[in-house]
Amino acid sequence: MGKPLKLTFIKIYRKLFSIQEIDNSLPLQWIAGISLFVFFITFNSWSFTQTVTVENAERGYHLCWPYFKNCGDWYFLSSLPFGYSQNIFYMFIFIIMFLTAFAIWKRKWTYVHMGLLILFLWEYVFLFVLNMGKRGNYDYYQVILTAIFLFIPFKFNFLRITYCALYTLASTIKIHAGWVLGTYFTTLKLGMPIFPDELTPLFTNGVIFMEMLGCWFLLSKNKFLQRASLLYFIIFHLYSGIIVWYRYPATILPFLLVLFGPIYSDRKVPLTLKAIPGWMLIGALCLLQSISFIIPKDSKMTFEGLNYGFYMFDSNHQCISAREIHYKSGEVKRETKEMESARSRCDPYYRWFKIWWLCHKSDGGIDRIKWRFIHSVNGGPFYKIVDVENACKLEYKVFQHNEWIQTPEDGAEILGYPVKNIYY
Amino acid sequence: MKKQGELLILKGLEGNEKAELTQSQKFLHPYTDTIVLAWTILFICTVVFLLLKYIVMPLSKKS
Repeated sequence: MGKPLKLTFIKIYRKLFSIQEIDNSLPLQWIAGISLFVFFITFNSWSFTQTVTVENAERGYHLCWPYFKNCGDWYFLSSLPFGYSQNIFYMFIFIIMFLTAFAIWKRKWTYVHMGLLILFLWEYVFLFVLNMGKRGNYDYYQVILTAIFLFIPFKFNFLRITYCALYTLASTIKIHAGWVLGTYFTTLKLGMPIFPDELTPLFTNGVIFMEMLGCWFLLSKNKFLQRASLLYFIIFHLYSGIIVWYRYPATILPFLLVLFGPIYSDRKVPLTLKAIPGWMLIGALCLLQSISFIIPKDSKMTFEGLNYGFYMFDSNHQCISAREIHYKSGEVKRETKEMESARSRCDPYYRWFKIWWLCHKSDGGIDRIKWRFIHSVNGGPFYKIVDVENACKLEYKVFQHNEWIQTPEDGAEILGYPVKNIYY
Repeated sequence: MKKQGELLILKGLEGNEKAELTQSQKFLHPYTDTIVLAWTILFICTVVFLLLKYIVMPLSKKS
């Protein structure tokens, strides 16, 4: 590329992504470092998994999103012991991270932005195109906050506003008996960490209040309220780390400290034409969060639409998926999968996808699959929510209720009651 | 999975007691729907307040 062409490209690139904001803002420069740190811990955990490898798709071990069920056809990487391509790919990613760190050291913010953009694109494709299984709700925070840093004008203002909005959106899934009464925790054998079961409703309702309303004090001009809110969320994330390990606090706490730690005098809320992308992003997040509420029936039981927004700690689940595979040869194979951990995603879609793959993508000579799915939420009864003679004929609707998933209000049969479960 | 009376016990949970409400939860249980409604109303009020404070009022001042 000739020098004038390169300069023009850099000039357009800087204008397009509002890089000047990063040049002039120490907090945004810190955000670049935090984002890189979170990319490192994310890719470190992905680099040695088989999640999006050709071999995983061939064996039907993968899980695609309902809106892209053939994602396995697009896998192109192989990991050890089958091949080196994924390892080579992640070392390329490592080089990008290394160069981005070098650019941060040299304070070359345009190059920092370019490096983070490449990392972001892979994270986005991995999470929302190629796979549904290997992801956590904490990944959403990283994707959303990094997207604002990369693409949205008024980066700092929108990072702060969106960060608070994310708490409020996360509170919506807690407006449910599991959190109002605190049964999420009291149906665990160990209960809540540190505090006794009897105090659980106090803490769970306190979390709802702070996530819904208290988080906005982070933006308050009142120093006492701002500091009290900040302290609450620091303690909250450190406490939650007891059950969610390092990954979640390591993602969320550094953003919290940089965005709300220092007292910033500039609290203006951008309302110019240039701010439209920022507000559109917030609107889109609200829309995605509302999907599980728009689809009729209790999403805690059906999981329908729950994965498009924040679902972290929606409910405590126990479930059993039992299937009878009838082969054309006349052979019958019975398989039962029991999920006893509270954080199991007892999503009928996960089990349906495996059956769909067996029926339509594998060449296993299957005639039909009889399938039953039994689900208990927050220590409630075990309901038989799926009971079909031939699951191969089922279709999964993405944004509508699937009639073959029964709920208590449809009269789903109670098969028994659960004992306290475990969290791991 | 083991069936023991009305209990359905998954593998790995043998020996655990039945999941039941605690005393404080038994006290709150009759009011669950009311509390859920109260949180829903507070959520709607919060969203309306935020829209007014951050968007509607500054825009109306501007114009």
